[in-house]
Amino acid sequence: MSVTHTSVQWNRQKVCYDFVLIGGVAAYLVVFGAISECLFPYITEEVLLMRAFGTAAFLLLHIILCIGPLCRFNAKFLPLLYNRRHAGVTCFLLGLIHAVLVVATYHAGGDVNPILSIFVSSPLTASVAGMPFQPFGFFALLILFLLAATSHDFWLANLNAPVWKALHMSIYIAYAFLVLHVTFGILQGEMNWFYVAAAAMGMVTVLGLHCLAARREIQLDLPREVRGSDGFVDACAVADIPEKRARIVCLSGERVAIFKYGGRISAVSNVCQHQNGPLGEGMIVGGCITCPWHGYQYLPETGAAPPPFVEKVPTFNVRMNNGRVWIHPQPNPPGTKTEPGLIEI
Amino acid sequence: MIRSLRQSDRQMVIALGILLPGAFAVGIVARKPAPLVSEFPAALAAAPHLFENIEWRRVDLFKNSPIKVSLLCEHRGAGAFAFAFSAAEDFAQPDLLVYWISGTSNFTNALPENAQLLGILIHFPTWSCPSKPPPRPVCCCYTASPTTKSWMCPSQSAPMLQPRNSLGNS
Repeated sequence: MSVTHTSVQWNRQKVCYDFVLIGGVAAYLVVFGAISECLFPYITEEVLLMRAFGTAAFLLLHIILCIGPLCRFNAKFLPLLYNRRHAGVTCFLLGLIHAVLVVATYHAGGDVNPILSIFVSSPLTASVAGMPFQPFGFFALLILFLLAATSHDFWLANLNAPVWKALHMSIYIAYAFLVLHVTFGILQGEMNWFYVAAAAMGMVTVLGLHCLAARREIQLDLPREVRGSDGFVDACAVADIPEKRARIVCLSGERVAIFKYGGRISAVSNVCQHQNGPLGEGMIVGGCITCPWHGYQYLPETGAAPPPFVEKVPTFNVRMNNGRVWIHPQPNPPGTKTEPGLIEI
Repeated sequence: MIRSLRQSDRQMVIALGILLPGAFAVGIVARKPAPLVSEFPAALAAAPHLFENIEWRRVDLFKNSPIKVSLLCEHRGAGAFAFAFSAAEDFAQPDLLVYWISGTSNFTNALPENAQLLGILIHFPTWSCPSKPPPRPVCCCYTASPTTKSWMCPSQSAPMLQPRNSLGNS
């Protein structure tokens, strides 16, 4: 978070992240080129580069899509999520290089507009195997461009986080287009079952992880129905909450993070104001709730970021009764100070 | 605040989890295997010839193009014939296809039905003439570009150039 505008706030973690990212991509390209030269000695430079950059983009997209659900299952993957947007931009750039090579090689030599040629060079036929695959790649690249262009916090702040997240969910559509691009493109020509197995394994991994994560998320969204006469809802037992961490419960359809720290209990919205990250999966650091995604911080009693920062999240009224935590499901306005519940000893 | 987003996310994941594997499976099942060499016509599987003699070599057969063409034969003036193509290393023309047409034809906007594909003009190979050259055979390079196409007649004495515009414009 920042009180003054800086286009990119570099820190050691981001530099390390990008170093590993670029190094990994470069290593992949070199290894891919070396293996291709050994296995296919007559391959042309254009085709080699097309395949290297295309497969690098496709593989990187798989990794990017796996980061989210992996972080749901294990916090050790959170460092991968920290700067995921740089990986997304890299994925777009790799795809763009692949597309430029394809257009220059196959579509730029004729008297038809190269972009138009992508759509008219392979007309629809009655054969499934002959389905035009290049338009799928074109539209996937278009979506990746849109996501890369709006990945900066400028757009996050101006569109607001829910709209930004909704926009970036179109990554699923881009992924579907790319799977179709590969299935009806290279896999129609390469008959080796290794390529089919690799593509299938990638798809099963991505979709499997997301389905498992979705199943787990449904459990978290089950509402609490034990409601007292004063409107408070029995949320959980104090003993269920680890020290300096939170338990997430669903009240009135939204998730609430209930934190335990220094003999007190406070409840805030589970949604970080930055990228809507899960505050309840973070911890108390320096007396502040710290988002696990990018380190945005909030005071547990007020839901407000410590000065001079200005972010605020809604708070919830808390009551303690016989070792159990009761929360009023009606949220207070963001930044409203609430009395923390005192743990009875 | 973002419950609807989470629900949309789950719905998209479930939809993809059902539709995408289905589309993938259909695409894989519909694949057509590449033909084996043993399935090729006998003319294409014939033993390669050794062409020792250069009957002629021309650099001007293809208008506005640096392609050089040589007519080769097994023995001087006899035996099987073949074409050899060459050009400067920086010559780049995508999808340049070479066809053999037995006999002269009235060319229209499409290739004649009897046009026989020799191959793609890449790495400048040598192709055998599919049959004994008739009096006026035609070898044609075909591409989407209007700058490289023309026709030539490789007779054994002197090649005759029939300059034309592009196939698409003729």
